[in-house]
Amino acid sequence: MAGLKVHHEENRDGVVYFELEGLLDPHNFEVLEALFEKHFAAEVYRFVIDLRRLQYVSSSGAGVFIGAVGTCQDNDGNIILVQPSQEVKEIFELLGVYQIFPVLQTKLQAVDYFAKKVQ
Amino acid sequence: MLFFRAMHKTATLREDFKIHAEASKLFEFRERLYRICTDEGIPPQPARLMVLAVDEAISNIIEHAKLPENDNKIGVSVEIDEHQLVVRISDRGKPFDPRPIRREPDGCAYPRRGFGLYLIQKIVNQIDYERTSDGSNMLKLTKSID
Repeated sequence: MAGLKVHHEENRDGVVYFELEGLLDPHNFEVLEALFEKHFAAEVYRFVIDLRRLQYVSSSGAGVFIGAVGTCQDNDGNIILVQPSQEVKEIFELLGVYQIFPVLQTKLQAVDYFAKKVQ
Repeated sequence: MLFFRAMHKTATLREDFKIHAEASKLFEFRERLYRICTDEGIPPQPARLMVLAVDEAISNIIEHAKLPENDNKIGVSVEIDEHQLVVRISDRGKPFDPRPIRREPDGCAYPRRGFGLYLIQKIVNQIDYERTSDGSNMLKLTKSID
């Protein structure tokens, strides 16, 4: 059945990693919104999100990322998007999301990104 | 693309259906519209984008149109010929003309919502809107497939 799944959520040294699978649309974007809010409440503002298995993002889903990245960057954090699928890439390109988020090809690159910020 | 369709299908396809105004039903609708498009020879990328545009339009209706409880279905009509893909969306909600509004995501302000109309306008070639005499909204999205 279609929906959104969050996999492998873990907090390592203040950076939260998770993977999204499925469809992020008006029916379920609040799941992602709640996930960010949970981590913001714990004062975590650094995220690495694997988008390889996310097949669809509507504007309401992209809006969650765009809304959350402001809070992250205001608190010396960021949201790094890793390896968006072709379908998601097309939508993000239309929205100009790549001007707002670092988009990297591997989780290792994302780890380096935050490690360099700490140095 | 045009050549492909001209070789295989010459008549205009038209398909009409109604969907429930519920966000939980959008997945099935998107699948159906994508299948109609690709079965008619439209390549995956323009088909995906048109599905996104129509999904955004219908999501706006579900969220904002305040459809009457006794008439809360949304009509969808799909028309495909050699040159264009046209989707007409009708509802009985309050009037809303989406054409003048366009907001690009702003890297400084980080607004969460309101990108749907921007996406629609980026994807389709033409948007027509009419408030019909019987009190319906009729939105027509046209995408060239030449």
